[in-house]
Amino acid sequence: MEMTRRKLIHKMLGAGAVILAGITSRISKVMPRRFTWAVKSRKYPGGFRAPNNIFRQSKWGG
Amino acid sequence: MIDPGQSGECRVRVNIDGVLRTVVYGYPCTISVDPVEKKPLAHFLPGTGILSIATVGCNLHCKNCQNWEISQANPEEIPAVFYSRRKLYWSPQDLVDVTRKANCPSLAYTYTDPIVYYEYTYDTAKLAHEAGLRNVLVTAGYINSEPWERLLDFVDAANIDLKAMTDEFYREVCSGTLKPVLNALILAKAKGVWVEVTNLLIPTLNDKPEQIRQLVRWVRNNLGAETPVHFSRFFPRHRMLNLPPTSLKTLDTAREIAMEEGLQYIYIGNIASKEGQNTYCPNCRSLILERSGYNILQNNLKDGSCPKCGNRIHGVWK
Repeated sequence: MEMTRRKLIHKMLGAGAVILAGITSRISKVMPRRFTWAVKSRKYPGGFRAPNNIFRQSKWGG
Repeated sequence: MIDPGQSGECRVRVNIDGVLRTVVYGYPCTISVDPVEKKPLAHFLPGTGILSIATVGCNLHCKNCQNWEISQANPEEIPAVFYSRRKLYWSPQDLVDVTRKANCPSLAYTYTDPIVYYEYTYDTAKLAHEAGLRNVLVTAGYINSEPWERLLDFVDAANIDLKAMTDEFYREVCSGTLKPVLNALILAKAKGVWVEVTNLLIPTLNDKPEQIRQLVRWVRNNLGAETPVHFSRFFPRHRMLNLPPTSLKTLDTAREIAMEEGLQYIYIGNIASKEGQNTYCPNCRSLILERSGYNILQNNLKDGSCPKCGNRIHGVWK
């Protein structure tokens, strides 16, 4: 197939887009995101205890 | 970046097979009804109880943390409170129901830092808001703007720690930085949240008159003179056992400086102080709310105003 100037430009734009997408994807993996919504875990890794009387003031500050 | 199998600084958000999971959602380690004055909030529904919850974990590591046993613990080490023996998990709806049963007008996300159990705070606050309850955050405000703004849509009041005015203090004492905290304070105020500020005065680290003056000036210029400031007494705790408790003289000096700088409502906490725990009219100095510890002895407010001169007393009163 004959390579025309138009085809060459199209090919270069296509290749550029692929490279840009790759770079963006790579950066997003390497750079920490500022806001990520965490998914609920089904299981609590620790133990459990019965609640104290919730009407009693907490011993913790605040 | 959190590596697979590892948790973040807060200990409760874990990378499990490439998915960020919160392991404390629905698993509070403490639930209590506290007086709202304990948060401390002096201008928000005084005399009411507030259902207060926390999970383990914190995104800061303050050497002086008073709740370090839960804030600096791994979830594996601290048991969660179960809802019932058959149902271990507390859904946001369960918290709303308990708040109603306890006859509390509001819920507080407190003790550790609601920012580390963000998703749980967000979902519960949204539901509580829809149910006509109020939401209160007690936080160090160490959070990025985007998630903070989203959360604030459902928040009515916040007590935010402003620990010092230097990055050096935040880095050395808390393993954090100052700027996000200042941004969080400004954003909360701009979003119409009722904001009160707590500053824990630690001997030799942030208690010099010029440091206090710098802090109150920042509050006045950025949050407004009507923003209550609570100067709180330090006690040696956790990894800061080498310093003495803050003297009453230092706390009184801080209050005087704040008054000189034009702040209207200044409180002293963690210590018995007659003047420092009451609310006075900033215009005529009449006694508006008399407190003893967390108890309200007198409430002279008249439709949110001073009964003598009619000056508006800032706050959320009903």
